[in-house]
Amino acid sequence: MFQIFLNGIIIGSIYALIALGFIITYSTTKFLNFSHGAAIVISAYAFAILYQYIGFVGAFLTACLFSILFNVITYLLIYKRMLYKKTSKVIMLLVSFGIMIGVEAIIQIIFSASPRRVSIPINIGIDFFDAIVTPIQIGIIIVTLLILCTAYLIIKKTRVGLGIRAISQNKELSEIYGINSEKIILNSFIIAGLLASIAAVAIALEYVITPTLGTHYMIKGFAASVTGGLSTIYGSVFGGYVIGLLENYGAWYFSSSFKDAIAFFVLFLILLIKPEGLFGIRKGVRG
Amino acid sequence: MITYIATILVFLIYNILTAMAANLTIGYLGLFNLGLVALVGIGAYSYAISMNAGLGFFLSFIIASILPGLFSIGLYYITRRLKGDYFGIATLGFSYIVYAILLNFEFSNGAFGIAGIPRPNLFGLSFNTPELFLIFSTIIFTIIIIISYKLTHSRFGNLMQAIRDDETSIKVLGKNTDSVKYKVLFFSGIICGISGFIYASFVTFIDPSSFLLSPLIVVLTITILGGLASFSGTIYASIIITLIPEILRFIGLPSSILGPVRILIYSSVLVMILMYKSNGLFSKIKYD
Repeated sequence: MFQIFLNGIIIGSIYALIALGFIITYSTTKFLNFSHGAAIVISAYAFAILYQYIGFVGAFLTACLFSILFNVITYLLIYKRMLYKKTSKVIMLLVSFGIMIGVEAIIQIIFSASPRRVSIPINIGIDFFDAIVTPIQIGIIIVTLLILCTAYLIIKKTRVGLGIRAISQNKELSEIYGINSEKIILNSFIIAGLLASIAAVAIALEYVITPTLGTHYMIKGFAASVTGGLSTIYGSVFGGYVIGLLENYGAWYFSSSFKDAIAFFVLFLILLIKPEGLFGIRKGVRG
Repeated sequence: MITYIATILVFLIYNILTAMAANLTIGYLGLFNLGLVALVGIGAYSYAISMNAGLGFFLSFIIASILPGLFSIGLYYITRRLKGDYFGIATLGFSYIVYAILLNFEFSNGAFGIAGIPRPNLFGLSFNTPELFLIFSTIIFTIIIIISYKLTHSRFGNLMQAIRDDETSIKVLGKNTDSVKYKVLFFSGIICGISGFIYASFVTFIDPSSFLLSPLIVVLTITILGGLASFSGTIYASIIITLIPEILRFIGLPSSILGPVRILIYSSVLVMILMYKSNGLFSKIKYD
């Protein structure tokens, strides 16, 4: 029983990281940026391939670099222009979706579709209250908590966080007050890239990686953000844990083959019953 | 060679029909429905299952076309309060749910899919070669295209577009906008089901992943490249998008990377069109 809870927390941590990165760009730009999934798959592959040559730290830093670069380039080349032209959010959603699918296709062309595993040294599970956890899993849980706390502090206490909050509430007004919105949005993309690469490294260490993992985890992370509520950053992080736990308990109650479907059922139900999310604030008409 | 051309033409028909259904909902009604490919899947699976259950061709065809229509209505009935990207996401969630159900239940044979689906057999005539199948699907295709042409180039078509542009005003004028939407959605669901039938009975093998993201990207690319609410644009774009991968085949790319290269081309066409000419090649209407 405790094992199920723990597994839910482990995968929930990864979803929470993805949801956090996703929600930060959403709060500044107000479009659903699915190319976050592309950043995840790029850094997961960078990490998995470089790990055996330059070790953990080097591979991790390179993965971060790749992911941040990808986010910055897509923002500067594509999204900046579209945001400036006030393109409709549906079109931007489609563009980011196309980018994610395209990047995954490129990854598949270069590295083939066969699943890979990072050849980490064997890590033996430890007995922990009748449940077995490996050191890597403990690491994922703790690092995620640390990152969530850091992100909380950055958003609450620093000037960058203040700018992100200001733009997420009212972009025009904060521009009038002299906030450089383009710079803040760029910063939010950089932070999102960093978070994407951390999530990607956690995925690469714990699960197998395939070229389509971006879509897979992105959809889950997205379901998490919607479950928690797109209007609150913390709500969407909490949604990550909710989805992770529901997935594992659902797999235990029904059948493990339904694991992937549960997130979509939750997403669908939330959109129908409470589209603003569990912790969201209803703001006028959405659309 | 004739077999090869017939195969391409059947796929062209499949693409045009699916894109036509997409254009009816996305272009004419302005409903950003990302669940269309799941409807195609429902059509394909219901044809395959009822054929294998021995219901005969005619009944299976009816089931395969009506069932997706009903699902289309039901999906909109559930999600009718959502707008814009929220509607898109909910319908994408629907595609994933359909995928998960097809993948996990007994009736659809899970990830192995259904193989050996019988080709159509009507009045003792079996359409079991690509050439004969082409004739058969062309007949269906022509009927559907004529109906959709009449539908979109009539007062009803204007009403559809007016609802997309300003639903509140049309309601004020006393039109029942919901009934228009349900009618069009039912019709587009039927088209989806028929193209699912064409896919299933022509390829004779279906599995859940044939109806998820990669066909969705193809359909969206065609719809957006052709232009929203553009009847002829859909057909031109389908021809372009169907022929591009065939050129690749002649270049001599290894077959293992042919699939991803196709997806890459589709997605880059999609992104380029949306970035630089978001009303498509043949349309004057902009989506927002």
